Amino acid sequence: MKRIDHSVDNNQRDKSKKWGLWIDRKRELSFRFQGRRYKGFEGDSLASALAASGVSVFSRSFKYRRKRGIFSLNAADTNTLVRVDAMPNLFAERVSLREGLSAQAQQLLRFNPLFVLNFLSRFLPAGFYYRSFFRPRGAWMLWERVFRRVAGIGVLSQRKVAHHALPRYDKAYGFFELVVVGGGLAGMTAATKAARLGVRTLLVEREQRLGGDGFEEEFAPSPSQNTLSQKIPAQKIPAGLPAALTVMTGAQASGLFADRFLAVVEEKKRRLHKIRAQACIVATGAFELPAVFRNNDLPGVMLASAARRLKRRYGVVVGRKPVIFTANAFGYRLALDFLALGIKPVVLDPRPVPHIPDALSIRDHHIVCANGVALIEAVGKGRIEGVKAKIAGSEHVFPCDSLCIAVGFAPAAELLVQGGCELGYDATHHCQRLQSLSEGLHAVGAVAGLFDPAKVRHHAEKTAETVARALKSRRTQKTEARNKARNKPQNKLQNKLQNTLPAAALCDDGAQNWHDPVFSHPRGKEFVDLDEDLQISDLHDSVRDGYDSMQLVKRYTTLGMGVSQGRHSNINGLRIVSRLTEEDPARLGLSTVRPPAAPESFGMLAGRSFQPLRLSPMHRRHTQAGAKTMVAGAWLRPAYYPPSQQPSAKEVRSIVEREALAVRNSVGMIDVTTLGGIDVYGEDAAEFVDRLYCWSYKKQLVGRARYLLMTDEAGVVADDGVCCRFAPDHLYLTTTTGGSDAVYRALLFWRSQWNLKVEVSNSTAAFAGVNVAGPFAREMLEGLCEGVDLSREAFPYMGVREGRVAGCRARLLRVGFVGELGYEIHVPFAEGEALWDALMQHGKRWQMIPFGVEAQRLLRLEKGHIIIGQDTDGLTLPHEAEMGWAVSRKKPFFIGKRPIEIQVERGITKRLTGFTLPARHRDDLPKECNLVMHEGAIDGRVTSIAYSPTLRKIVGLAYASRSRKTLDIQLDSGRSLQATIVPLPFYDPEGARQKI
Amino acid sequence: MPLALLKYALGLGERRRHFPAPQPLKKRYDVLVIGAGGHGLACAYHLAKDHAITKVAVLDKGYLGGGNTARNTTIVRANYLTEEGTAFYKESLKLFENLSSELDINTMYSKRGHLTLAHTDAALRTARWRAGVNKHLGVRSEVVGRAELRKLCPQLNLSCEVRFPVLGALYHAPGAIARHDAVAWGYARAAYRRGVDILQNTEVTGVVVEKGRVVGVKTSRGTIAADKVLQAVAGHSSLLANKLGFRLPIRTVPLQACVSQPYQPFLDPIVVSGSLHVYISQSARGEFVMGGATDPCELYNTRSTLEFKEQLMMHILELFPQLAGANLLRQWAGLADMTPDFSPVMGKTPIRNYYIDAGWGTWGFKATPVCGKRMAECIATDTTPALLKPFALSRFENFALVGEKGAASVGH
Repeated sequence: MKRIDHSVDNNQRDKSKKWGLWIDRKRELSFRFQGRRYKGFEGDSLASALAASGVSVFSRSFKYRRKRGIFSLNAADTNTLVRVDAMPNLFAERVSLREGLSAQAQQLLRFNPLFVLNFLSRFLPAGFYYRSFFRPRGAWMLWERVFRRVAGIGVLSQRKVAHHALPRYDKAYGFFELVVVGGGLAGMTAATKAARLGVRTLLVEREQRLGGDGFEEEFAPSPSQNTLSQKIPAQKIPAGLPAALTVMTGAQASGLFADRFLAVVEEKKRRLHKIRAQACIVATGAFELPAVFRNNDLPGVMLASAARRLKRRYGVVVGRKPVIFTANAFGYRLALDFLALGIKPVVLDPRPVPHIPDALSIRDHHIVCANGVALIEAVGKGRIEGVKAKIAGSEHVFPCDSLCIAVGFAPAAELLVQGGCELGYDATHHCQRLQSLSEGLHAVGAVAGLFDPAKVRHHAEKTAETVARALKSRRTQKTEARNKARNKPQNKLQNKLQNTLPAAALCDDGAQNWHDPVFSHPRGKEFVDLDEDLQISDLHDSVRDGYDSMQLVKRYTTLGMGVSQGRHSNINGLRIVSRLTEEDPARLGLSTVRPPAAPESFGMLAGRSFQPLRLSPMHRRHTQAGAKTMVAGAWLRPAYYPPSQQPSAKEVRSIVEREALAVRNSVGMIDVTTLGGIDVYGEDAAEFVDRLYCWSYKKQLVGRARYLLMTDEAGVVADDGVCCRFAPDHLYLTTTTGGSDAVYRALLFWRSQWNLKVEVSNSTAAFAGVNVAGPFAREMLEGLCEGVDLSREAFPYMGVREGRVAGCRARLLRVGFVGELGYEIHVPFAEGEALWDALMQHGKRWQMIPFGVEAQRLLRLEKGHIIIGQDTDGLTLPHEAEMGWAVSRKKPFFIGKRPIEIQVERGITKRLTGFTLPARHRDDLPKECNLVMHEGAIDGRVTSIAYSPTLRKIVGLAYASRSRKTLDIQLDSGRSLQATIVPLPFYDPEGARQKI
Repeated sequence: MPLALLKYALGLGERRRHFPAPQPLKKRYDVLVIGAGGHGLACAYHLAKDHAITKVAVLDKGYLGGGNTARNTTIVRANYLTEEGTAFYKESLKLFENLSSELDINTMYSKRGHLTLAHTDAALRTARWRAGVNKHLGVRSEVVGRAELRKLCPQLNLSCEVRFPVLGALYHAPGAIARHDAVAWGYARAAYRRGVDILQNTEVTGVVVEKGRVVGVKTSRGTIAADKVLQAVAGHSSLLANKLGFRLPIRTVPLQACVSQPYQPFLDPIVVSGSLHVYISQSARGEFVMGGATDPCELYNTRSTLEFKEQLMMHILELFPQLAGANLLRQWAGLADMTPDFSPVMGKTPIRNYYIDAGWGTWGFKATPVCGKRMAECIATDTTPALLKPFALSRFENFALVGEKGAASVGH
């Protein structure tokens, strides 16, 4: 292949500058392919620059490792997949050339030892891998290694990349009244027309320039389109265009989801646009279809549209001695193009008699033109050298350097089909055709079956008008509806869908699909699917084996499963299967079209990682104190406060023990901001809480707190917390850190179901909280509290008060999760840090230290308090967790009541049991979730375990079914350990310490 | 060159269809199986092979293996949380290992090892629990730390710079992937060779029940009489049961999955993260097969969404930043019949001689062989095999749930 100009040997350009519209001949770029240096121009794609430099082999094929070159130049086959820098599997025609670009082929190009498979194809029929490779047992594991090596196309770097070092991908959101996809003639016409009518329109074009598939040399673009295509605006409006129009080039619409939600990939900016449109006009054109004959994959064989694109956009002529195999006007026009350059092509036409207009178009040029041609094969070594064809019963060979195929088109309707439009097979015209459009979707141009520029323009304008009208009436209706909404229930917007599909009769035969471009050869290698190296015989095998519906053919042969998703192969596959099964192609149907319509990179989809992290207002203080943090739901919490940077496991234990002992012996403070908080207001607040939680709350006194236990509809423990009554109509509920969202959701749900007079508000983020616990807690707080009498009588255990602590308005809860005299202090979120500082400062006298979650877990374990999710699982009943005391038996109803009652009546078989182990096992502690065994069977599991510095022994909780004296715990090593069962709690069984 | 291919190329050996061509409807069968997915076909095969019941037909409204059998992500494992679950899937694993020879088709059963990542200490606890139960039942599972993880999956990003760093994992060495289509076709072919009829494009429109006992089914092509009927229609189980007048405790939600373009070998083990809602493996073709959490709302629709891909890829890149440049090829969805306890429903129903195989949520493919074998036993002998007893429909009335939520791959 050469550039049209003859003046320079390697970069031949058309002097008239008629061709090569996209390239800037003044700006030369140099790049590398396979290590060799080549030159191209600004505006070139990698594929076109290589073609202009005479490179015809881009890759080796998937199965037989045959040489492959440009075929569709439309990302509709995998022949041009290359690796650019470190990015694998890029279509060379979609890679814009830039200075210094370095590309590699993805397989060995020159000599590929696997080419031997080409000669073994007889032994590798469709689904050959299902027939063998599995004996003896396990053999597949070895064969698989070979298969994996051979099958994978692209090479991904194994080298580790830091997550933060990834290129920055991002996302943008767009809202338009109308999105037009495809900036060819049809799309440009529709977009400009709609925008002129005042519709806020976005035009999306995947190429860097508007203009589409390049048949515009046949028509004179109207001035507006001229402006559009010449200015190449990217997201800005050039002068002379309607202000309502936004144009985005180099952006590929890859998915059309429910309610006209579009994914648009802008590769250059590494940006994924998520665009919602009220209406969408799809003008994505058509894919040209190949012919199937022996060696139809030789480099130099390509679709006529690829040849035209090369010439028109990049000024590259595909050959000096071309043969055109065509059954429609497009092929004949290509012949005229060649003639205009002084090249005489041979035209081979399968139609038995000359098609008068086509024949007339080339009549004066005296070129070879034959009708009734059946292709036999393409011949050549490594690239095409000749075409063998049968004409009127006799074989002829036409030497050539390229073969262009023009036998028909298939609508590029992927987006429309994703959007729910139906695509059917039109048996009279041997083509696919849109049968229906879903609401708000429209099709113009070739995708709708129109090829004639005049018809395209007319239909696109009409469609734009219809859409504009519909949108306008919708707007009016919306305003009216809004005005009426006060008094009347809102009317559903009536948006009558007007069918904008052109009638089948209108669809021109410009497409002129030849009904049977399939020429089988006794020696095979007629490729139906170039991606997957499928020959006619593969489909034959499939049908004969019983896989005779298109879905099964696809799965058995992998037809259309390659990177191009069958864009070039589906229709011919359908024709072949239809002939083999004698089934109507319309009934056979095609496999489902699914997103994406173009490759989307993982990075593009991921965008920036957005996973909010919640931090308490005291977090800065924790960090300053050197806290080790741990993940707790959406939060980070201090686990413990180590004095050194990297404490050993043993040091960690002693740190945690020291923190715990501080709480037991003097006073400690923990940040409890992460606990969920929900305010419930209203007349029915107590009734509402009473129905949701197991215990009874209706008679709960103002100024008192009560334990909360929530079960789900199966009676399984779901969450716990404390209910504080600040007023008859105001309850404040706390939840676990991880459960706050689910509980809030449940509250909202039941509030809407029961219709009680109650308002629910999630105040988790409104409050910061600390728990000050230890025998000196009261003494320490007394000097800081205003308006609250902390004395034992005035503020007893399980009391709640409101007042001021260290100047902050506070809710005080006297609760005892850790089993000591303790106060939870909730203050407005923003004052959390001030509160923390004041308390830390004030607490110095009492040697108060902050403690982390680890120490808290140890303290509560000593006290026998459970942690939901750790000491319970997805099936735990309250009674199994020894929480039966928190379940009211008198209440008529709460969520989970009936299943709990039934199961309690039947008898609870497993229970949470306390156990102890001597301190000498400290270094080889059983782990949480080690199993508890009984007579060789699983009996339960350890849920919590720790060494208690206070009790100087190991304490733990475990589920076990039978009442015994010892528990048999199975360690990780497989060894078992006998633990003594003791009653709960381990520490302060009378609860005297929290009540002082 | 393996012998089978040589024989094929030379035209030796059997050359008959793997499945019957469309045929006129027969009047009656001993057993009708509704749903020609992996489960239904496996059951028909075992009815013929183990119990010599060959007057069997498998009906499907579409093509065979075209429902969830065609849509799953082909992971096979037995690292469940309950003893009942582990024992059941352990037998499945055993049958899977021998399936290729049994069915004379390469099911591409590939033991890759299965890693369930833990990002929180709660997840580590569950991993240890599963490992304990598994080991007790002779299933290889163990909790591994970051150092071992680095060896098992060197590609995995273990750095702490991500939002949820990996703390450890449950490693299940026998975890495998298999070619889902081959499993369905293998069963279909083997069943057909034993005389079972497979009726594709024959939609069941109703079931004929007389005096509390099933006597036949109505189809789009006419009525067929039958002594016994099995429903194996994952994704539509409750709809069919409703027609018969009994309710299933199932909510049906879409479950989406996607596949990348083929790449050279990159990842060997199957990697799952419950906290990040991700599972990923690389097929023999080199494609990454990936999935995430089920969709949040009940829906009988297999549409794809953009949000699914965005969420999934965000998390996949945290685990494998090297994949940022890989391309997505295709996404799809299946329907998952979710039960409250994340375990299936198998066995008898309130209607006599009507058996059910349902509630397969996101764990159906891995149970294909064992479910087929045991359901066949259940139908042939009319007694529920011990292995299936814990999964009876009646467990929901008896509060005898088999809680497997902790062993589900991803969140729901």
